[in-house]
Amino acid sequence: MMYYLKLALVLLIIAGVAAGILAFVNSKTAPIIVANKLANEIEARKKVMEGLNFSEDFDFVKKEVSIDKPAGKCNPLKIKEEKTGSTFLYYEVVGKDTGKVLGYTFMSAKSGYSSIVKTMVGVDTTYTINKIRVISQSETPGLGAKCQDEDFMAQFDKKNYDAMKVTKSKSEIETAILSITGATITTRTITESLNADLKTLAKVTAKGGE
Amino acid sequence: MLKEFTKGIVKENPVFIMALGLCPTLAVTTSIENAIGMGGAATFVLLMSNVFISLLKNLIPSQVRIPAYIVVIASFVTIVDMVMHAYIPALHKSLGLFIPLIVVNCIILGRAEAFANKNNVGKSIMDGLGMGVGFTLALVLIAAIRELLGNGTLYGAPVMWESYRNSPMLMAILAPGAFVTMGLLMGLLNILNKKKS
Repeated sequence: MMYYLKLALVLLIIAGVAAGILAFVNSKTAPIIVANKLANEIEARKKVMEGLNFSEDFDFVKKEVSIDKPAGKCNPLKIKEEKTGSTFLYYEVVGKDTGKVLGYTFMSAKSGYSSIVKTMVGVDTTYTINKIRVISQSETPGLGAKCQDEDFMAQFDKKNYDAMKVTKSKSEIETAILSITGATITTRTITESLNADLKTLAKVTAKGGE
Repeated sequence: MLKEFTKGIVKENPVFIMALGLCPTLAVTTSIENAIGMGGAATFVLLMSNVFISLLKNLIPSQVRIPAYIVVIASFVTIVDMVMHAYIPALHKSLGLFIPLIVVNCIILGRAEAFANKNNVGKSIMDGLGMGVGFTLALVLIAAIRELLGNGTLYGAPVMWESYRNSPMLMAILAPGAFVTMGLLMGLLNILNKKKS
């Protein structure tokens, strides 16, 4: 009996010490991880509004709207990682002087070939895309991972909402997004998630907006 | 003492000779950068777990040694995971799931069971370092071939001519390329070893 207690005690001590060390390391690294993530998002948000020449400086105002979307199909962006069910989170780009809404940014996310692809999108008030940035993905290196190339992301510039189609060969159609070779799924994921979320954005800003 | 270090690199190379830890080997060797990251992380865990298991070998009753080893290994892997996430987020992202999976990498438990619990700390350190370096070198070798053929680059720098880079041999960077590359390298090493003896 004592022998078995001893076995359990040894394991308990080892596990306890390990838990203590991990708790300590976690308390040091967790704030940095959160801060990194926030900084990345803020930077991406600024990037996707670049090139739009407003006559004034602007701020980002966070908006959260509940939408009638079945839970589970929700947009898993959120700064907090929790499942909020059916809210759509976006940022209004508001002019500092006039207080007018100049555009919107939001993060679109959809699961692609081997990961959830998160894309930051900036649009103007007509819901025309200014720029997109793929900020998080772990698709196949050399294939899907090329969605972070500037050339690919630039294809979405000035595209209008709800009208993007993926093609596999170069085409003259204005709304076409040329698929990445060998990564049609990734390309389609990004295009579809943008289409869907732009539609949502248009809906919520038109009826519940300013 | 030096022999404990060098044996891991060629004679008992964990990947090519012992065929241990093949899952991460196949998965992360798509670029040299990933290979170095994975190799570094695994080497750190291997070294630390070897040291601690060698120190604790007389305190841990042999009936519960496996769970005790796993707790030690898992703790170091979690530390690597958290530190990497905080300080090198880009690499952490590209290695993704394979960092937590170091816990079940056979090399680490294998060395704990076969070496560290029978030898002193000094030897265990050399063994851990040697095996880690051997693992890293094997990963880098496979990754270099796959990255060059499948993406036309080496460590991210363009090497092949442009028309090749636009339509590279995609198979090399996909899963089958990993099996083929590793198989050919293993065969090559076997031929060399046979010739030597």
